Parts: sequence; structure tokens; C-alpha cells
Amino acid sequence: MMKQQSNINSLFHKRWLKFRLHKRGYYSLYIILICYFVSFLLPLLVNKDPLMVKFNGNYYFPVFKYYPATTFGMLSNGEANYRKLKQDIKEKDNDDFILMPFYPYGPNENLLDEINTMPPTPPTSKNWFGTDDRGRDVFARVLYGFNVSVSFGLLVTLFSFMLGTIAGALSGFYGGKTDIFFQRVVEVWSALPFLYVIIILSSFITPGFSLLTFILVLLNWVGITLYVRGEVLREKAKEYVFASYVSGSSKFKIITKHILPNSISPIVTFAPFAVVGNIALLVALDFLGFGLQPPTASWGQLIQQGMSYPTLDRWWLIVIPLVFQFVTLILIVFIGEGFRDAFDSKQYSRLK
Amino acid sequence: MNKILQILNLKTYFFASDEKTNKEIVLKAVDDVSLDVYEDEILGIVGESGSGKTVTAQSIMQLIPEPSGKIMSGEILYKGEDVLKKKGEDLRKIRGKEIAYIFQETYTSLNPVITVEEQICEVITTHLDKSYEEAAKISVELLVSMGIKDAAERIKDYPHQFSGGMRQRIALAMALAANPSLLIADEPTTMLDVTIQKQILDLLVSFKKNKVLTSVIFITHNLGLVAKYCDRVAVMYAGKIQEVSPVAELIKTPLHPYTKGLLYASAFIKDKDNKVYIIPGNTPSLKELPQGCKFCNRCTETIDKCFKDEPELIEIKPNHFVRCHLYNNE
Repeated sequence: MMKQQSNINSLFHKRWLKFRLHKRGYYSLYIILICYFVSFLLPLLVNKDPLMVKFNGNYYFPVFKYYPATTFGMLSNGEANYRKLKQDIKEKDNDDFILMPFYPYGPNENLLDEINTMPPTPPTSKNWFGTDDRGRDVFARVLYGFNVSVSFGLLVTLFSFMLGTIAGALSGFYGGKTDIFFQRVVEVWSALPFLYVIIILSSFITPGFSLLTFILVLLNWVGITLYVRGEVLREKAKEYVFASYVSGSSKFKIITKHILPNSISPIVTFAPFAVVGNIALLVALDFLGFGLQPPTASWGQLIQQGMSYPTLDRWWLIVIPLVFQFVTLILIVFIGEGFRDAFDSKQYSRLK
Repeated sequence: MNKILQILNLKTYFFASDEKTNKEIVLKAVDDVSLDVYEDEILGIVGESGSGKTVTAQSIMQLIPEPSGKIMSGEILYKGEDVLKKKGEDLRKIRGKEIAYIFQETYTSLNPVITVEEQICEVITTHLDKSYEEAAKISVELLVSMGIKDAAERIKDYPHQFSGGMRQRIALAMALAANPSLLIADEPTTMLDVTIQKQILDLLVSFKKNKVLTSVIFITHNLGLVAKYCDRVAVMYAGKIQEVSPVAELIKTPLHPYTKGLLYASAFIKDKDNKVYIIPGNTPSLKELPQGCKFCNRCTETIDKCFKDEPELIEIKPNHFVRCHLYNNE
């Protein structure tokens, strides 16, 4: 007889196995996760600051620490231009060296000195995706923009789902007046004209990353509430909930240990699509100028710069961020599809 | 013998609105029920579906869903204390620790996303001063005593990996984990097939003999099981107790016509035309109960009085109570 393999049979494990069968979603999850983790290492890969400098026998690590230009014998005020320093060191031909990142341009760095023409400039072998209208490198900006966009999408989704789940769980579990109260709040809240509220708010406070996240969470949390409420309403009438009542468990434990883990399907299946929505929303807000403040690297701002010119001469400012956005969003949608299939019990109940 | 539980004049009503007149109507699911449960006995409660057996049991545990239902009045004294007055923390100390409850539904009575071990341990750690490791050991012993093979390994499994009978054993283990004195078993074997039924009930009885568990309220509609396992039996019909008696006596000399009907029907006694006896008519809807005796429209032995006055529950012989005009000789 085969030995029973414990814990392999948990419901979530089963769903995970089923998700893995959905190849598209599974590989998309891998790609997105890897890209997202790598995007946190961008300062080491795509940056104007070198990883390490040996100058006159001393070692410096400009990625981690700021050194004024005078440290390296340069005359300018403020930060050193390390690409220039690299050429100087080459010419000097001693044992000094400079280790630049893979792509030696930063996202917020002004390249007006180097491009010698009016920005924006089209792609070249130096600036792969050209520069934007302030002479900043577009390749660096779209990559950093990926990190900003995905982080933003994840954080807004995480916090708004947390709020929405708590509200939905309380509303479904307690029922009665609590339910009526939460439902009316949800109705009023969801009737708020979303875009106008943000436009009005942005006009007198200039939202940074965390403030914009906070505002969007406040406006977004109602979406998941109704689904969680429905699930909780259904689960709380099941006998295992009664069983934990009659065995004397506290309400808190019943909600957190018994009801919510069984109500997780809509939360997990909606999450990737909510992330997609929130990323698209951020791009839209940035495009309109109500989103993150410059100089934060953002896709929407690049597109806006490209579109503000009457002809499509600045095509790289439009096409490149859009391609990045499209690929990112479609990968996340694939993940969502995979989750949806994994949590869908319909497959088992099909009659022939 | 000491009474472990006393139900006194319990009334549990449900409220619904009439579809035609749109007026609120009161459904008297449990109407003035008084019942004692003694120490060291198995009390059976029998009756057709909708007779108020389950609602009585759920009232004891305060499981009546408000606002659609409400315990209107009455007292339920457990070891002398009114459990209906207990709320919150006090109530939780009674539930599971003193009075346990098992359900009919075996497929949904365990949480599908956590292991059996966690579920049993939750009961133990809630009520007894034990660490999770100790609780896990006790859980394994419990499952072994419930006759589950390889309990030490299987305890790490999830409910869907067990069969219906196994799940009911686990539910029983969960109910008995905190050593309760009273167990309410609400049709615990109705969903199971007959051989498993017997195993589970034998287990229950053996547990009653060995442990602190002193009394069991066994709700069923199977008089055969009552005859085999119970000491006393209460027959319910339309929210009221119709007859209470020691089992042997009830089987031998049933008094109430409804009890007789149930008994004949379950014993497959055949009448002159060689047909199995059935009680005529259907279980009445609680919306349209007859005046007088609630059973009068299905009864075969009615007298005029039955249609006018509701009979009282009276003691005919020692410990044998019946609610029927036929035996009221005043």
C-alpha cells in the first residue's frame, strides 16, 4: 500500500498544483517575480554611480555613499560625473580603476552636457531608448518605472484588500445592523467620482508615493467587500462553523481560523486583476499629471511627454513605456487567469 | 437519580411573513417543552422531521439564529444553573467543556482547510490548560479510541481524505475532546449506512461507560435505534412532547396514538390488507396546526374532545407521561 503523504493534500496545495498546470500563468508568475526582485537591484545594474572606485590608492563605493566631486580631483560642485572619471582614469593608465554598473545612466540624471542637442533625443547606442524632454535616460526610467508601478499596484491592492476583507468579514459575520451600516457605507463610497476626487485632492496636496497609495486605498477598498461578505455569509451557515461555536471557540477565532480561510477564493482570484487595474490607474494618473510627482520615474509621464508634441516624432517616449506596460499587465493577467482556474471548482462538476 | 439537565417550559419561536397576507406569523417550533435529563442515561428524542427535536437541542446550546428565531421563555438548568442566561465568555465555557454537540451532516461538519489535528487540538487548548503538543497527543489517543487506524499519521490529514463514517468519528472525538458531561447527538448517524451507524453508536455507548461523559441526548427518527441504545425516550410532535417513558415500557405499551403509529410503522407491522402501517396524512405545517390536540387530524382514535381542547401532559404510570385525552379520566 502506498504511504499516505501528509500535508500534500491541503486544499491550498491542491490549488497550487492545479495552478502549475496552467503553464501560461505559472511562467508569468515566475517572470514577474524574478523581474520584480531584480528591479530592487537596479541601483547596482542601471545607475550613474559606480559600484567601486579605486582612486589614488583609496577605495570608494559611490553606490552606497555620496562623495563630492572634489574627492576625485574634479572642479565641479556637487556630485562627480563618474562616466567622465572613467575616461580620465583610462587616460591616466595607472592602477586606479572604476567599476561602473552594467548600464551607466541613472533615472533622474540630467544628460544635457553629453547629448549636445535639444532633448528629447532618439535612441542611440549610448542611450538605448533615447532621452526624455529633460535629457534623462529613458531606458533607466522605464526600468525604474517598472519597480514603481508594480510596487504601487501591489501595495494598493494589498491594503485595499485588507481593509475590504475586514469590512466584508465583519459585515457578513455580524449581519443585522452592522451589515446595514457597512453596506450603506460601501454604497455611498462607491458612488464617489473617483477621478474627480483624486484630481481635486492633487490640486492642493502634491501626493508622493505613500500618500497616493493611501488615497487610492481609501477609494479602492469597497470593491472586494461585497465578495468577501457574500463568501462569509455562505460559510458562516456551514456546520463546521456551528461545530466550532459549540466547542466553545471565540468569535475572533471562528472568523480568522475557520471562516476567512474558506472565503479566500474571491480575494485571491481578484487580486491579480486588481493589481492590473491599479497599475493602469497609476499610468493614467501620471499621464494626466495627477499622479506621482516628478522626478519619480513613471511610465505615464513619459507617454505624456511623447504625446504633448503635435506629431509622433517622439515615438520612443510613447512606444517604449506602452510596450513595458502592456507586457507587464498581460503577464499579470495570465497569473490572474491561472489563479482563477485553480480556484474554480466548476471543472469538477461538469456533466456530460 | 440526579438531574443533569432540566428544560422548563421552553418556548422557541420562529418568525416568518405570510406570503399572501404579508403579515408576520409566529411558528411555534418548540412550544412549552419541559424535559429532564438524568445522570447516567441516554435520552432519546424521537419525532418526524419538523417536530422540534433539533430546535430543542439547539436551544440548549443557544444556537437559534436571531432575528428569525428566538427563545421566548423558559429555563434550561444545567447542574442547577440557567444556561440560557449565560452570555459570551461564560457561555463559551459551557459549550464544548460541559455540553458537547454533534451534527448530522458529516461532510460539512469539519473545516476543509485545516488538518484534523488542528481542529481537535483547538477544542482541547480552548478548554483545558494544555500546550499544543500535549493536546496533539491527547487527540491521537482520542482517535485511537474512536477506532481510527494509524491515527498518529492520519491525524495530519485533511477532512476530505476521510470517509463519511470516519468523519463522524472525528466529529465525535472533537465533541468529546474536552471531556464534557453531556453530549447532544443530533441525528449523528442519519447520513451513514447501517453498519457504520451501529459502530458509531456502540462507540458512543462505550465512551459513556468509560469516561466523565454521563448523559447523552440522542435525537433521531429511528425508533429501532432508540430501543437498542436509549434508557428513556421522549416523543415529540408539532413542537410539543407527546409522550415520555422508559424505553422498554414504551415499546411494550405505547399509549399515545402517534407513538403507536411510529412504532407500527418502524416495526413493519402489517394490517389486514397486508400493507405496512403508515400514519395517515403528512407532518403538519407549523403555520396551520389544528385546534385542540395537534395530532387530531391524523389520529385514528379521536374523541370529540380532541378537536376542542389541547390535552395536558399527565403521568399515567410512574415515569410514564402522555399528552392524550384517551387517558385523562377526570
